[in-house]
Amino acid sequence: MASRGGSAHRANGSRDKICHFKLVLLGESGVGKSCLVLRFVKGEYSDHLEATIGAAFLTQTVNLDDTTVKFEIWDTAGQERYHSLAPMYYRGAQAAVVVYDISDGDTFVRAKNWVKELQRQASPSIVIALAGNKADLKDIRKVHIEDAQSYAEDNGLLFMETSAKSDQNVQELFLAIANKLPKSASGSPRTGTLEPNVSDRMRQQGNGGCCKS
Amino acid sequence: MRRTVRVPVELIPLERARTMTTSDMNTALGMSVVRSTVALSKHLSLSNSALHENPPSPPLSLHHHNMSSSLELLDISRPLHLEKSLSCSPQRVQHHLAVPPPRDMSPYAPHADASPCSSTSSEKERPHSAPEDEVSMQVEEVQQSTDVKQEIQKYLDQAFNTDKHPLGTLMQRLEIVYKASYGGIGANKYLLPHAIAETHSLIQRIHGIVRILFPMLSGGDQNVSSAGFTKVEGFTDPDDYVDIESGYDLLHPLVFTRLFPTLITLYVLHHEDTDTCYQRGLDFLRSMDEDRVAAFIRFPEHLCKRVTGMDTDREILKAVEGASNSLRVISSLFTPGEFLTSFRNAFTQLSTIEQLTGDFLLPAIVLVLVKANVPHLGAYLHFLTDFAHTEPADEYTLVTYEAAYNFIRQNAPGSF
Repeated sequence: MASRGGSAHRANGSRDKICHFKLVLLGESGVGKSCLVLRFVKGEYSDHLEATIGAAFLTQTVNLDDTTVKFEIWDTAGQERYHSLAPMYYRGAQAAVVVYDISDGDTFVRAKNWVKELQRQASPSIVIALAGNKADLKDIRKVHIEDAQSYAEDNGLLFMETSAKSDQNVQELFLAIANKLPKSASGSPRTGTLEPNVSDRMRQQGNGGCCKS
Repeated sequence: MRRTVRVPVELIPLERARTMTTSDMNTALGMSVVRSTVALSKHLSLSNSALHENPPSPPLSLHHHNMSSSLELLDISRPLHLEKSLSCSPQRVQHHLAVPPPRDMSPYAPHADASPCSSTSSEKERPHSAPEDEVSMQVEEVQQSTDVKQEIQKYLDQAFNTDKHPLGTLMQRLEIVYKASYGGIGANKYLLPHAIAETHSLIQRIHGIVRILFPMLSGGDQNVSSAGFTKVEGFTDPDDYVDIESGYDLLHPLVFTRLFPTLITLYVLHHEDTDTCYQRGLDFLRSMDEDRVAAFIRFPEHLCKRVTGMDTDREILKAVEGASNSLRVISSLFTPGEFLTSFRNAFTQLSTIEQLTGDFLLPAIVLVLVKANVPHLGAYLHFLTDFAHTEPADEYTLVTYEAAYNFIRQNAPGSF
């Protein structure tokens, strides 16, 4: 396991460092979380779609100057009823994209709640990006770009208005996240990022923690 | 807590094993039996001494002591049929594919540790002439490794299930000790962490022994595992190679057949409260009619009608039924791999409905669980997190089931 992703295996001969990052998508249902990520992943490599889990779990690679960032993108259920289960998904995530719909003010309120929750409960170093999706629906805009922009600045978030439909800012958003992520040794190897999550979960269950929630 | 008993390589006479080829193994069979017996007893006495730091040592060390002495009496039967079929594999490849023959006589012969890596790496280093060649070679490689894997599996199956073979004897006695330690009237949920640690340790140590017979079954050696048993599902990106820890993959069915009933009982005891709660939630949801369930779990509205069978299009209903059918069998499974497969199958069935998105997947899994009505799901999920070798996608799968499980539990009447 430790040598996974080692240079011995690289078919293209490149010896770039590959960093694995878990990215979680949050936002009210219907804001286009999945469309956004499908556009990001499918835009370039349509054959990378995994058949088994469809669009709920996708991987996509972004090449930066000196490193290759591989995102493991976890989609979540946006329905309010499932809100309490979200921590299971964003546990151990290094990046989160909080999506709202610029034509629906409620989804922006909801997005702010997500951001608050992430800042409170997720890992302290998590990179949060706020995405105002459906930017193609400018005519029926309810959330002003200035409001969102200033909110993002106040909270230290990446912010972009995106459109999955017209492919606006989608690649840019993920590229910005990739650039902002720390490429330190601690976050990069697979074993370093994912196995602690599993053991966390085990420990939590082992303590009977899940029955008290 | 978890002790890593990684078999120190220097104690296994691998160098000796490596230098042996199939032919001299066949001629010097008697010699190699002696060698391997020595290796086995060496290894066992090593684990024996290592065990003294551990709480469950008394029954085991006693047992191991018996084992190592009984090894002197028992002959180790070599995988003769396997050697025969393996040694002819290069010719097969040559014949079918006109691939240049690997440097070594028998690349996948037992005890020829270096040869599989060298042959494969030489193939990889070779300048690729045409992409088709590459693909067909990869396919053949996978095919070949599957063949070898099946042969080894067959051999181990036989070895583990007869008391004429040391491995069979070992497993039989370990089962007795394991059952006596953790099962029966003394079964208690507080034993679970110890049972988990011991199961891990047993698998690791048995793996160490099996590696003496099949050195290429390395769990940690990157080259070997990629040459032999890496699972490649249509991916060419090296990162998508899955290190399945081949040896453990082979051993899990054999070991868990014996230990699983005892072990899962402890898991069930441990999760008694949560599983009762889950069952109450299930009963609550099952008592509703389908319209209400669909609304309750916030099933995507445009699909609601179709899932309740009100629509003429019954495809989605069938998919949900299919998914829950593949979950119903999990009460009769016992290896982590099989559990994962049936969990994955449920996802595959659902993916026929529409593009699986998070908004759809979680409610759909809740619905599938309600229909499948699997008891003790919490215990099974916990077991899987402990023992399954997961890829990132599997982690997502497990988290989704866990989320659905918690959702049902939280919405049980009387819980908060």
